[in-house]
Amino acid sequence: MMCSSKNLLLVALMSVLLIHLCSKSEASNFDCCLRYTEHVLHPKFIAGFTQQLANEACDINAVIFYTKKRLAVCADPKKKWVKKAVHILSHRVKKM
Amino acid sequence: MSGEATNFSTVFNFNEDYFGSGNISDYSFDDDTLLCSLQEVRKFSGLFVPTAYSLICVFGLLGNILVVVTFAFYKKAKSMTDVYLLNMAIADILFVLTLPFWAVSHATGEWIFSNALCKLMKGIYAVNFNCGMLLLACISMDRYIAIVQATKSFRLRSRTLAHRRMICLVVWVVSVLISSWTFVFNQKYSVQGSDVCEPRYHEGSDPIKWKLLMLGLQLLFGFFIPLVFMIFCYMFIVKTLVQAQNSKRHKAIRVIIAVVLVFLACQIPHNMVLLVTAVQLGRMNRSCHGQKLLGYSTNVTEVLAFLHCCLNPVLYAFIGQKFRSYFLKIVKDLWCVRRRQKAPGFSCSRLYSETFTSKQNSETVDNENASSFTM
Repeated sequence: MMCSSKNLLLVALMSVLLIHLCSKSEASNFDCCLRYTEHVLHPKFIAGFTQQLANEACDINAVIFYTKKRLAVCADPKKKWVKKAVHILSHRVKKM
Repeated sequence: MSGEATNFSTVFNFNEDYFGSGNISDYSFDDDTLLCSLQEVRKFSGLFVPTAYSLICVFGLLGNILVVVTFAFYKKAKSMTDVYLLNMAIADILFVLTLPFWAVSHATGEWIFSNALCKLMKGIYAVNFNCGMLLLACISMDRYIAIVQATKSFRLRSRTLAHRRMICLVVWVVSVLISSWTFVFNQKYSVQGSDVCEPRYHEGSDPIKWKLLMLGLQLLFGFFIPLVFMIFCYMFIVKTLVQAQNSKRHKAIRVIIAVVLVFLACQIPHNMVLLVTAVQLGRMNRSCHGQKLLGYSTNVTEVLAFLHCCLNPVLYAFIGQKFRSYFLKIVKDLWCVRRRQKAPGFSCSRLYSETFTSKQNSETVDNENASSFTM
């Protein structure tokens, strides 16, 4: 019986070994994209863009297009038109 | 890529057709496909969280420093529970000392400190929170051994007590080692233009899986394992106490119920929110309204969960008669020191002898098994 209690204590200590990834997450109050738009945005309406990475604070990959009407539209980075728009926009930046 | 760039005009022309001639004003964007702004949540947490954290910091420091002072000057740690209590108080002190940094981070809406401080604070935060949770499980174990295994426990308890330095060292070293992940992943980086102190995973790996793993382990070790230990140990303790003919058993049972209820009341809401967060992670059907609600509830329930470390000294230490008498002694001694400074020659000997006898009384109470509750 003494042995089993000791084992229990050991289990308690061993279990900590497994906590290794257990980091308390701070309350995250970040602006994130949750879904992608179904519309195709013409680059002439887009003022700029930023990227949202899933490995950071938000959980999906997204391209955020800032329109000239100051809307932040979430787009799927895998979509063809998004890639093209990003390409055009980054070229526009280079030209300036 | 470079080919496309050289033929930029053709690409652009192609794109002109590709994108169509839709006017942006024609689009009625679904709100949930726009960037979900948690500005209102930040506004709320910018006021609420710093206030709550300051209070938790002050009361947490007060209570836990009192516990440490009591052990340092008035009472030798005699049982494993005492040793765990002392360690828990130290862990709680370190934990609440990180709260001012998070309070500033909430108040300003970004991490204004350095990257090194980000890693350090997240690390201390994780080490001590987990250490506290582990010690709660240890305390329930020690009480279980003392009460349920009373007949066999004497030798075991004295043996574990002999190794107390070793056991505590193991608890701390393990807590630090396992938090090395927090040091690795947390860093300062920019999200939508403001600096944050958050975990950032490797780009190639599936980040959702990492995040789920983290949340899952946090739920498991920060809540379910201590819960299982507490339920298991205290259930058998209550069963034993109900059968026992100890006059103090009713108080002991009440203390146990208080300990378990406070744990549940503080930890369940926060862990439920974590569960919802885990379930929703990476899903495409989330609404911005839902995320705002989740943001509010995360902030509020986190405060409730952290409140636990202010309540630990009350629940585990000061609920006991011994501790209360030591507490009174500390107050009297402090009062004496001040009186002596004001009026030299003032004698405190009467007070000292008085507390000495009360100490003697409490020591005899200590020998009963049920008093491993520090009652």
